[in-house]
Amino acid sequence: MPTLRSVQQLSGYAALACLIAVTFLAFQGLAGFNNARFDPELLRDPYTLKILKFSLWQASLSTLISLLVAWPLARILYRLNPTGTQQFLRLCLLAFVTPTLVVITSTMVLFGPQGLLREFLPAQWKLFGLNGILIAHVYLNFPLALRILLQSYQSLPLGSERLASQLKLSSWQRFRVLEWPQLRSSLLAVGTLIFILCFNSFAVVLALGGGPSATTFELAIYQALKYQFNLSEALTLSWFQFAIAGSLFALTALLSKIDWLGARRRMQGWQPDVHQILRKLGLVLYLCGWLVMLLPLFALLSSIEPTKLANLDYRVLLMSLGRSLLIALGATLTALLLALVLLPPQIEALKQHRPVKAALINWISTHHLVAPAMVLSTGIYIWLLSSGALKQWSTFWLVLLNALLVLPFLLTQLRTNSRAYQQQYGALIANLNLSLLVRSSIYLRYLKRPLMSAFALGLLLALGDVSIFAIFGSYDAPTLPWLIYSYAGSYRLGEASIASTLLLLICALLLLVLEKSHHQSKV
Amino acid sequence: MTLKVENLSIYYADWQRDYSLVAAEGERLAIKGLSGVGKTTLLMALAGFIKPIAGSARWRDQDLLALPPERRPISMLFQDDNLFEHLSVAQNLRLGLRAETIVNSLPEAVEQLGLSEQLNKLPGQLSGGQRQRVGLIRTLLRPEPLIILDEPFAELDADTRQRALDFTLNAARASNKTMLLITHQDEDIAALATQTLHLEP
Repeated sequence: MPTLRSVQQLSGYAALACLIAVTFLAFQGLAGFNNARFDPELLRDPYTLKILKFSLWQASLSTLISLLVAWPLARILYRLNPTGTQQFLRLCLLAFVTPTLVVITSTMVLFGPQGLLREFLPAQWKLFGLNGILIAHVYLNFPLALRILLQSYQSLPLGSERLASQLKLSSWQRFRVLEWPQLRSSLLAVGTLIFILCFNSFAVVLALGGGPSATTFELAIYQALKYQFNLSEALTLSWFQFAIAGSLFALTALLSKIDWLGARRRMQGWQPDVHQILRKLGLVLYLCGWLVMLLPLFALLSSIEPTKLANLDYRVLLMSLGRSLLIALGATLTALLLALVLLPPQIEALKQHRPVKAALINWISTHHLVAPAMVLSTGIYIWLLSSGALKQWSTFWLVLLNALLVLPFLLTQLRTNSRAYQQQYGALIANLNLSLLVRSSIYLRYLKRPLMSAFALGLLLALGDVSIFAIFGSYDAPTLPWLIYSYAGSYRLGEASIASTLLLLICALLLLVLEKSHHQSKV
Repeated sequence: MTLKVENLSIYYADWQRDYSLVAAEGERLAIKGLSGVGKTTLLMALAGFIKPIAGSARWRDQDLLALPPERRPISMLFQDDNLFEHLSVAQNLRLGLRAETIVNSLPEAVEQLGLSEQLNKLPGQLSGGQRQRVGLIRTLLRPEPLIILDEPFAELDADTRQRALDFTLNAARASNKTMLLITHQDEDIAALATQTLHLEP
């Protein structure tokens, strides 16, 4: 009779093989069609260099501004613990998981040519291009940085503030001795993560980029494939992007672990007094933070006109929503299943004190985070095209590729709990000599809340997909984000706002489930 | 001899111990010694959770060390983490027991150790002593012939301690189980043990 361990290991390795196979097929698809080949000459082409320069420039600026906004706010929340901190943190979480198309719509409503804030902006202001990309990227990413930096502040050793006061350290000394050592690695880690997210950004650049002067790799691959059908270029750019994002991803993995949901809501007991003027200044900044977070939401709501509401084609809206939910549901369930199968070999490797093997398994399990959606979709698309199976299999791949992109986040959600289970009960389980069925049942019951939390997170992320749908989806049967994109793209901002608000409401609901189960699973 | 441990060597970075012991079928061996002397380490090695670097451990002429933990004929009560916190007391108690034991022996044991009112609770709602009694019942009623108890009565008050001692003794005698137990209390040894092993630092 096979033991549980052997069944788990075998299925885990089979799943790993499948993940590698998908990436291999994608690159095989790119490389093998119609004499497409990796063309190193392209890397010397001025156009490619321009794309590289712009990709790096916008990602660097987005990262820098996100950190510059997030850091002072995190410090204010930690030091002053102002009223409404918990609600502000919830809003930050919502902003981070908000589908990009919702943020794009809000940005256009606020800063577009007919935007609500247009009259306060300089006459030569242009949203489309670097400005628009930066606004959307910062709005999407600074909340993530804020939560992680606040978590870092909250991890300052208990009593260290009191000791610092006892030692009469100045503000600068306190920063240098206490805060900086604590924040340094978090800043670097979250900075790298935001950089990767912005470097790989697709929907924001597609909608707000405004032409060839503001193109990133992800978009250039899409254009090479969909508009020029230049597969050599798509292949070369894909490899290039994979190499850059992959190296950065490896760096992030080395730097530290990020628990992006993790900002705790309780504050350290004792805090030193803050000077009145600094306190007031901090509170003003905090209010500005609220304004920045709420403005896009108000913008969405304010641009919903009653006539638009009355005349909206609800059939299209609901069909799109249904499609989005079905795809997200399929992707999330697939990703959950994969995560459950992939975790045991990794945990077993850690248990056996084989960190390299564990890291390798982890890298394979999560490498689709850096093999960007566009690279995967493009490769598989061409592979299907060349094998004549595109029509029958496009929905399958739409769901599967979404699942693979969601998988790294679900693994992060489940890994800690699975490992804790193994550590706490591994010996007891082995000693009780239980059947496979009983073991699995106990394990799944233990994981109930983390699974629920992972499920909500998976749905949230998959619901916002644009890039995979852009390749595999039928534009005549859009998902909700694609519908928003097509409304926004034709300046039908009223309709885009209605659809965005609907998507945002669903995300907020899922976020409630996610946060509730996440915190309960930590109790 | 039923259980024979010879020169079993456990090695950590700055620590090494060699163990030898014998116990006949039905014997109850109490293991004593100062904290940190390696009592728990010995029991964990016998149960398969620590890998010795040398020596042998045989049970009824079968090499224990060659078996994975789940195949060893051992029912062990750990110092901690004996109960699944997300399962009720009743669900925890039934794990690893045979169907006839659940029907015939379990209710009586629960009654004897005063846990009848606790069956539907989660372990987190129990006191330390109650948790220990739940773990003890399950460990002793399992069919495995070799019982290992790591400080089984540490958190019990005088009254429940006596009841637990009686239950342990009766359960071990009834099925002629061989038992190894760690305890610091002489009265436990007097009540239960048929021989004592004193581990020296």
